[in-house]
Amino acid sequence: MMQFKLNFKTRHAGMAALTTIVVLAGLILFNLLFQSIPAQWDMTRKKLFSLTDQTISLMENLDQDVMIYFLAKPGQEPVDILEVLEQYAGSSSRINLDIVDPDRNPTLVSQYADDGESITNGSVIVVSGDYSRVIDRLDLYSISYSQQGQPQVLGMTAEQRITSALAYVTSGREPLIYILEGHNEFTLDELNLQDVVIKANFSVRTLNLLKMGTVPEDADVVVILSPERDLTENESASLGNYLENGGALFISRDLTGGDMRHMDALLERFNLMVVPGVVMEKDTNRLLPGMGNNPLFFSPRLAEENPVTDSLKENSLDAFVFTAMAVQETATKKRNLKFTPLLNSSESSWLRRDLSNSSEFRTAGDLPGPIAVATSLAETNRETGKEDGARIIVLASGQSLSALPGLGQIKANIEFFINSLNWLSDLEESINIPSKSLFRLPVQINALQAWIYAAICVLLIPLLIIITATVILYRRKHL
Amino acid sequence: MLAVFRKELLTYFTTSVGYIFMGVFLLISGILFTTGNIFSMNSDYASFLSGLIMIFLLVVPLLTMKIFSEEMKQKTDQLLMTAPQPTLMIVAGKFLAAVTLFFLTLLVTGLYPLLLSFHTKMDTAQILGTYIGFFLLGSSFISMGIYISSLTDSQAGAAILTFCLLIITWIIDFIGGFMPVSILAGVLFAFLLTALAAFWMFRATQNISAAALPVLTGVIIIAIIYLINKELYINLIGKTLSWFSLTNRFSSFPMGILKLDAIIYYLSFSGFFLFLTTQKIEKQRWS
Repeated sequence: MMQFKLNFKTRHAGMAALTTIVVLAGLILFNLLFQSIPAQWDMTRKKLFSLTDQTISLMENLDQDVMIYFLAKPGQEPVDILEVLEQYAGSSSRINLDIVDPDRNPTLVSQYADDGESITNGSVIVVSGDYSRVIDRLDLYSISYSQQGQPQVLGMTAEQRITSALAYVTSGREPLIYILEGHNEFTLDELNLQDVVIKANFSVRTLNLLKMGTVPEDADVVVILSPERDLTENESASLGNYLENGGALFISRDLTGGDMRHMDALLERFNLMVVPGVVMEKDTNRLLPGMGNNPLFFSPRLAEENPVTDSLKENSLDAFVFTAMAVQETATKKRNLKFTPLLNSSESSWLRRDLSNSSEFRTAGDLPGPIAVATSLAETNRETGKEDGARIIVLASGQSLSALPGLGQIKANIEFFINSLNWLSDLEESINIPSKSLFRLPVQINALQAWIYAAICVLLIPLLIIITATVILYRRKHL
Repeated sequence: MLAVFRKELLTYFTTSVGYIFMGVFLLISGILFTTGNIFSMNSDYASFLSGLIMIFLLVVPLLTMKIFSEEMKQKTDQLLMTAPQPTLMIVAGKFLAAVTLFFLTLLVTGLYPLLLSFHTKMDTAQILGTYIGFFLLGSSFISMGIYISSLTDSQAGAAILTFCLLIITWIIDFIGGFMPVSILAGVLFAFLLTALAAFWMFRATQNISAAALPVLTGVIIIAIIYLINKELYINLIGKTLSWFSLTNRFSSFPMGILKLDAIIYYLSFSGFFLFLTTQKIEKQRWS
């Protein structure tokens, strides 16, 4: 009888213990199964952890494997960056993510570091074939420094940087742009565009044509930003030769009042003409009430179906220009040059040619709208019809690329510039992903409201619970 | 189950337990909210919620300590065992009642983001996601507390043990960062787990043969994995602790990411501890 009882207990205990182990193992397997399914929902308003269409499109076209190393101590990875990286790894079978502890893998890390430099914890290395790019951890965020030097994280640029690195390591191409100097032009730094251009995978050098004589052969694009003085005849000729050999030029112009005959002559060789004056817009839908509906400051219409303006349309970004001149096609034109207006004023606008005329209405000397304030020009091959010759973009409102009083730098204008460089360098698939803002508006609350809320949360709610408890418990006690 | 659920929920509101839990939780959260968000004009409510978990960890033992230990002390657990209901349903009823009280308390804190929304633009979806994560994490804590309550007839003992275990789950991820990462350490850790399973089996059955089963299975699995890919043992201790960590999985919710695997993990965790509680109660039938 005793023997039976022991067996009964042992059998039950054994079964119970075995069931527990099986249930635990089953649950672990079940969880591992779900872990392999990358199902998640980005609940953030700014979609901080969702990849943009540009990145997804780039990844869909990947035809080689990419390795992303995230340098971090196990368990101490910055979770926000890790989430973004996991999005990449989960979105393409071509991309593999590996979290590497740099202290344990110094050899792996050192092969990607520049001579004499080390790669810090939290950095990301993107590798494909012979190409690699290191993204420093500080470059994964947009950081501003206060006057006291205190850093403040304003946004996350992880996707911008990683996608840009992906584009570079898979194509291995970094177009070289030359910024012309010697005519009091803007520099990229002065326009706060240096960092944006580099992030978009361009290499930047300066070009002094007076010293160098000719445009270097490795130039993908020459950029001229709001020159205040004219080119010399030799410079104009050099640029002309460069363009005739399939070169690309971005030129922004402002109304200077000075003689620009050699610059104009260069443009005329390619059917282009900048008409001095200022465009006055009267369509109130295109004016900014914040600028007092100033007719000189307006949002131009974007060209239909064009690689330079498409992304602005897709993202509903409004470009703004001010004191813009007009760009036109010359009366006599070569047939193989394709002229495309990119930014236009409305029908209710005009170009005021006589600047001494202060009338707010269109007068006899004005050119009627719509006026093109930015145009592109592509030279086509007469036989094949392909656009494989010279490419030019003219923006007749150079200052629009700078920060505007009260508005700062216009995002769409920057995107227009980067898209222009992409088109000019024949790199239309290149990347221009905006930084994702992490900035939160503070709570706008006055002292009285704050104290009222504090009283509700700290006194009223707990007090209501105490009163309810007292009443109920008292009534139960005296039933 | 419904009868147990009703009775338990009613008990929370007809005794002081429910009010103490709600009162303490809402008082501390109210203080943290006013100092962290209102007076500092900070609109980041999701971070406030994730900070609130530490407070919840302190008050969970108040909620769960008496669920089974009180029954055992007053010998009313005998009634439960003879009740015409499966044990799992009784456990589930008690669990749902505690979770409902927790849910109602969280509902009251919904007033906080409402107040903030009058003065700034709130990330409604992100806050909702954080609440979902908080609720699932809290339910996991509660299920663990219920299991511990079934182990002892001392309420104070249950409360202290629950608190200690919750603190361990809180820091388990952090501890994992300091563990050795070598292959040898990983293999030894795997053997240790196997030994623990064998010990547990032996303790339950008092039978050497029964205890040998997990040892044999464990050793075979460890050897196979070692032969196929021994790299899997690198940092096994840290990876295991991190994988089981409740708080590690929560970190994505306040960031605004709702992960299916995290939701499944919390549900599995609660389910497993309810299963363990059922096993513990069932054991009294045949031991």
